Amino acid sequence: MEGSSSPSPLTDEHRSELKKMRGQLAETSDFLNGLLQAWNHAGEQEYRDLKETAEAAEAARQAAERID
Amino acid sequence: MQSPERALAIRPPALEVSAALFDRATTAPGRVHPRFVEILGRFRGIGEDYFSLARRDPGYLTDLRAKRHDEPRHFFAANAQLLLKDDPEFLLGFATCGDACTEDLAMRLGVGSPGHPRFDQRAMVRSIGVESPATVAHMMGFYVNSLGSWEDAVELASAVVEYASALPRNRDAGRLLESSGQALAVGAEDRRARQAWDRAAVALPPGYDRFFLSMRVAAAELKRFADFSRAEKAVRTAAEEADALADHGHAPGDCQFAQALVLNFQALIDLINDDLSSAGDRVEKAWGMIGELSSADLTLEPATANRYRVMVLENRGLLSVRRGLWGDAYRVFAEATALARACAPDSLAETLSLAACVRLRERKFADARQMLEEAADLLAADTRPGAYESVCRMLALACDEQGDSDAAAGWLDRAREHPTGPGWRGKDVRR
Repeated sequence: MEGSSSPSPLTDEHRSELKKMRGQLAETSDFLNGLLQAWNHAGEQEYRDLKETAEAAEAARQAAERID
Repeated sequence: MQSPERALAIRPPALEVSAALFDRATTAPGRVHPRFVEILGRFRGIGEDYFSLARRDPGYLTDLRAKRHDEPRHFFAANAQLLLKDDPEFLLGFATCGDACTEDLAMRLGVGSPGHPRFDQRAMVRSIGVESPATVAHMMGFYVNSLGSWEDAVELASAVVEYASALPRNRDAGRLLESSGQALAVGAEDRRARQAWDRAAVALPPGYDRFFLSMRVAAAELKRFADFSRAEKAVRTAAEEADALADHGHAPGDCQFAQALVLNFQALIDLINDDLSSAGDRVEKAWGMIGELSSADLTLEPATANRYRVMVLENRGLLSVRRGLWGDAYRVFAEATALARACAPDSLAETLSLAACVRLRERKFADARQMLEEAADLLAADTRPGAYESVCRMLALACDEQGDSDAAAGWLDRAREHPTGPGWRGKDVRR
């Protein structure tokens, strides 16, 4: 009918995805990390995990030295 | 060198299947993605000129990211299934003694089951590794870069380490051992990876070969094994090798370029240790050193040098993002994009998507959309469905923010389709 607006092509699923992306964009590091992951780069979480792993290994090494 | 038929007396099942798929794909054009035919066709170079044929493909065994990447696997499996869906019995012969790659394909097509004995990669190394280590290196590269089968690469690399003492001490053997170390590192096999690297260091000639070995070892020690101490030791060795490049026939510019790459890596260690200030100083210094040099100052192949230039620029941009300096980050990513456009086209989609990401954050949606559309076009002709999906989703957001719901819906649909098949380029895109 003339004058009526055409229905949006966006489904509920589309809207939900866009809303989620807007949320990630507000938390920019989430958004960028997602992109970096797509390009196979390490993101901040991966760096944090690396540091934690290294610290845990160092603590275990020191504990083993004390036992020796 | 000999043809693969003669060179590989014992042919891995993946090679047999690839040859058959290649024949089917070339006799039925349009059924699969054109890049699939091109990449699969690399099998013809095994034992001959594989590295020349594959020089523009992603090289995951030499990449300083030192990370498993599954996009080649998805791309290969999706296209192979299109060719074999009406004839899955073709794979029956490979389902009970295949390599991991053919076994996976057989299971996807419902004609295989797990738990059968695998093709013995050691037999291949025994039969050809001593005489032609390059052929084995070609096969390892083909497994990872074309078929995405890290499992097979790790098994092959384990066999290489087992027979390492029988290998000659030359560049080909050194490169095979280096690739084996990287595959084993990605497969979390630290002890055997280090054995491979130690042997590689003896076999490789001094100069860039050893410099890049040390850089790759440093990257893998840090990123795969979280061993900061070994990573720092390897990067110190790389720095010594960078200084010595001039003694091995390289130009003074090469020493400076290599030292810049060392600084860039040390910045990563700073970053992980939350020392943003030092990381920033080092990356700026690295870029200053690299920026002074033209290709004429280097013996390093221009394509390789340009890839590293883009890498350092991207790191500068990412550091600006970490500091919240969006304007700076955009300028650097735009510079990286200009450089990639001029002389590193394989990096262009990546730099465009990074620049667009910053533009989205700055709410400059028209700019972001333009860059993302270019990236999407590039990726539609490429083999990375994950990167394509990510770019499509960003495009949907940019379009929606501009009030273009039709285009937003179209890009979201494309993002969900994981387009690896023949319809990839033919899909109606509502921009």
